[in-house]
Amino acid sequence: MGELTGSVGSRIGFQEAEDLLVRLREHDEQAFAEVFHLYKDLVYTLSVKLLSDKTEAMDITQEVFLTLFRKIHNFRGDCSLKTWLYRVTLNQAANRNRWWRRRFRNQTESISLKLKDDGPVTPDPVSDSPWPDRVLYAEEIQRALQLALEDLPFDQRAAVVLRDVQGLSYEEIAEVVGAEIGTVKSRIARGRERLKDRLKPYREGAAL
Amino acid sequence: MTCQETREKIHEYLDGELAANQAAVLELHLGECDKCRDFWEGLIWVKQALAVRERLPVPAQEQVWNQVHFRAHYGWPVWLQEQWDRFRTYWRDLDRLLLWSKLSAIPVTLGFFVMVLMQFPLVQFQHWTYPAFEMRRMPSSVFTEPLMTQVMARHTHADIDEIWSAAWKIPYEDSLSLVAQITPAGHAEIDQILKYPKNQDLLAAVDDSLRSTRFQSARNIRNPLVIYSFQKIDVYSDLPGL
Repeated sequence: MGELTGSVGSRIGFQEAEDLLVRLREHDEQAFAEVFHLYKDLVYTLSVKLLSDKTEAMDITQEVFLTLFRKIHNFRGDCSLKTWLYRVTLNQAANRNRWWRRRFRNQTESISLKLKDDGPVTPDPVSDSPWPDRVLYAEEIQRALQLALEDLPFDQRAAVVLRDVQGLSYEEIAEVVGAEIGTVKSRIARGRERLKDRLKPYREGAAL
Repeated sequence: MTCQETREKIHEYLDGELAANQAAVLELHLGECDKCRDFWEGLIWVKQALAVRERLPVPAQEQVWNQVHFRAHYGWPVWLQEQWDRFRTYWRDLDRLLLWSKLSAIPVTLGFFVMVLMQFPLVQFQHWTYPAFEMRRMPSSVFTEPLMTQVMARHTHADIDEIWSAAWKIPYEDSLSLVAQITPAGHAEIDQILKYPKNQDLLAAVDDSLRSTRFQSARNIRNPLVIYSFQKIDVYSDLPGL
């Protein structure tokens, strides 16, 4: 569990981070490339989980790093760079979320999920995976999970994803979403419980 | 520990943020209560299912990086292009109903502002018309007779307000009527008072007003006399108790 939720970004040391920040402020190309390679997957994962659309998520990743490029002088350094990037991602995702909801997103279909649905269902015969049925089942669970996430209110979705996917602590989440720790805790609790109820059939299927 | 307390604490326990002594009590309860253990297993299952990271595919990485580079290095023209694009797609993709509701809000809003602006008169005076006359002997007649006409006066709002407030202070019905002579300068002076008002303030206010008002010259008449009459009607006076 620890291995799964440990975050990559936390692996760079304090001194390194300070150094990186100084170079970013000087608009050092190399520093931007380093930051991009450090955090691209984090930002991408967060946006995929929040919006359940890979194209949108790529778009958001682009916007986030562009914001980093353009607005680095606005970053005062009172939180870590990772927290700041998360916050920017969250804001971008919230904007898109609003944007899409205005356009009756519930009535439209997510293209990537649709493609997944219509894609090949039969396992690849030459696949070297030992249990193709298990792989399929895991994929199906992920799809269901994504749909269930999409049904959560945005606040709860963000809190659950930041905790369980990105592995942030309560304090960090509170800093990212700009809420009290108590609020964050209750959002996580509600979100998880709703996910649990929604995914109950899959869990019982797994137990069989 | 009750089930209720367990459910409140269980998320912190799951996240490893519960104090050790409380965690021990909670584990004890989980060992005893089947319902809570099921709840706990469900949460663990969800947490494990969630803990799968996405990876940005390598071609996409390059594309994103190139795009960021491109957009970051072309300053405001690219920014302007983006803003325009956003604006355009916003209106293009807008739901039909929403589009019309937004468009119909425009005249309503404008109308509202027009109504507010109409409360403030653009011109700070009013044109009032007064009856006027001159005593004149017609060629066919042996008598001098009044020749009636009208003159237009330009009252400032300050003038009107003064008369209005003078009248407002009078607690009873009052009236005045007088004849005023228009001077060559275009103002008027009281010539003859036909009926004195009970309140001298009113007379003073009317006098002031006549002296400062600009009268326009009447047609066909050299020295017009203006008939000015004023009447305050106390509408409530015959109601007992008021």
